[in-house]
Amino acid sequence: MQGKEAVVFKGYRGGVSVQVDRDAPFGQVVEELRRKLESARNFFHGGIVRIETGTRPPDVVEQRVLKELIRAHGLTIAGDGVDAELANREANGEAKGHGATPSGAPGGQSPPATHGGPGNERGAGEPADEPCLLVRRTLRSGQRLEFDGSVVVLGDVNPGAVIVCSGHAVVMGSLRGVVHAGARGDTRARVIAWRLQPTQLRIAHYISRPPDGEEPSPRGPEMALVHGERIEIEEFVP
Amino acid sequence: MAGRVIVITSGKGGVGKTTTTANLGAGLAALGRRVCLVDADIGLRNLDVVMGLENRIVYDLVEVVEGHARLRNALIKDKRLEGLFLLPAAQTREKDAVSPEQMRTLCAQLAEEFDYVLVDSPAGIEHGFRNAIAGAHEAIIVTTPEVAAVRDADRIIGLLEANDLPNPRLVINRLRPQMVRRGDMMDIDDVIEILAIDLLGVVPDDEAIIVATNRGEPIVISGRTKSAQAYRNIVRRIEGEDVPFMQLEEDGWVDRLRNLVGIGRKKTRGA
Repeated sequence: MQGKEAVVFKGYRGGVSVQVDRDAPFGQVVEELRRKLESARNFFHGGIVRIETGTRPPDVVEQRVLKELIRAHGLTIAGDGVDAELANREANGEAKGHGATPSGAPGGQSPPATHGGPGNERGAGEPADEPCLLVRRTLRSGQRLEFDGSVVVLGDVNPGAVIVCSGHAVVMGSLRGVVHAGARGDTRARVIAWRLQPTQLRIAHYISRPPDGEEPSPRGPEMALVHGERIEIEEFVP
Repeated sequence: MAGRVIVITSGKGGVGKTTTTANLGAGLAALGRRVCLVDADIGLRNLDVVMGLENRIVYDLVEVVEGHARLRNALIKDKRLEGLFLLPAAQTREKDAVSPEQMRTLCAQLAEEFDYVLVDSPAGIEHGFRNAIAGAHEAIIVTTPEVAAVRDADRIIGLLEANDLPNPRLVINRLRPQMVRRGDMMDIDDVIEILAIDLLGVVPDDEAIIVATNRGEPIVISGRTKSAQAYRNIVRRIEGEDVPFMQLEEDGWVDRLRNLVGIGRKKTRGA
């Protein structure tokens, strides 16, 4: 490394952006990226990454190498499996500050269930300026997605997979894993799934699980929401 | 007096460590002991599923050692047995999220509250294995009567000795008496001859275990099969009782006839 860093990590709301120096030799870029990912393994694990190459020519092979390297460290790449919605988020979300507190380290500690409380002025009904992440794949056991905003999954959420988000969570498939919606304390957050069969559901500081010995077998889309002092599930009617 | 911390390990994967841990823990709790099961297989947790407790997990082992959750809040109480608790592994983290030093501290802490702390080790001999054995006072090796599994068990015994855990005891899992009789499977003596450690018990291969495991109900609690009895015997041996090994094979009419006319045949010794 000659003084200038070829790879710079920059955190932003809900993700990390990897900025690649356009003049650096590719070998150096790969080496540096690998070293930085290694040294901060736990910090980044499970986070969402956006690669910015400045005006570096978008070389397909180079891009693929970088993406593989990032994926091998347990991160999700924005604009890949995860939609490029992320790219717009910074501009939309940053200044408005509708989250109660700034985002923590992506992939780090989830906001504990008891965290939160009020202090969140965002209404559950007006998602217009709420960042929303579109995930176009199935989340498998061991995969954890954290997002400051709402999440829509076009796929399943398998047992052992976890979604933690500050807004709503919508799963256009079977939700069999754990979802924590309204993780910053928003009790108005909802969890909607095509087939709602979660291991466990959390909304704000409420936790629920299906009763023992009963396999949930929903016949259609359902929605979980906080009603009174508990999470209730009802048929989802658009 | 501090409780006993016992690691259940094997080297090879798929030999039944987790099932053994669940059944021995449940069996000890059924005798009225206070038992904590610790899933040290971070990133590939299973023990919660086998115990049927997955949907109760809020915090996990990694969050406890990192100081993000209190130990008492992370412990999950079993839904059937008084005095049985589970400390689940993290599923979305990796083995190196925990150090052997942290595991030692954690196990010592648990041993103050429980009579038994059973640590379910991951397969392999790397970081996860070193974590699992770090806080243990004793070790139980699980193997199946297969050459590869016995080879790995032998390697593990050597590593345990090098880590000041001498005299592990052996559980031979999934023995199939008929195959042994046909000479198609290693018998108990073959395994013992190679490993040369004390036999704690033998669990016969049994479909009922698969059913129980899928349901999240350790078979030891109420199972009527020989495998369930085998686990109960092992539990009593852990408690220090001298329980005779049971005979694993049903006597067929041929055997009864042979016994009648006095032609002895080596019986498959058992659990």
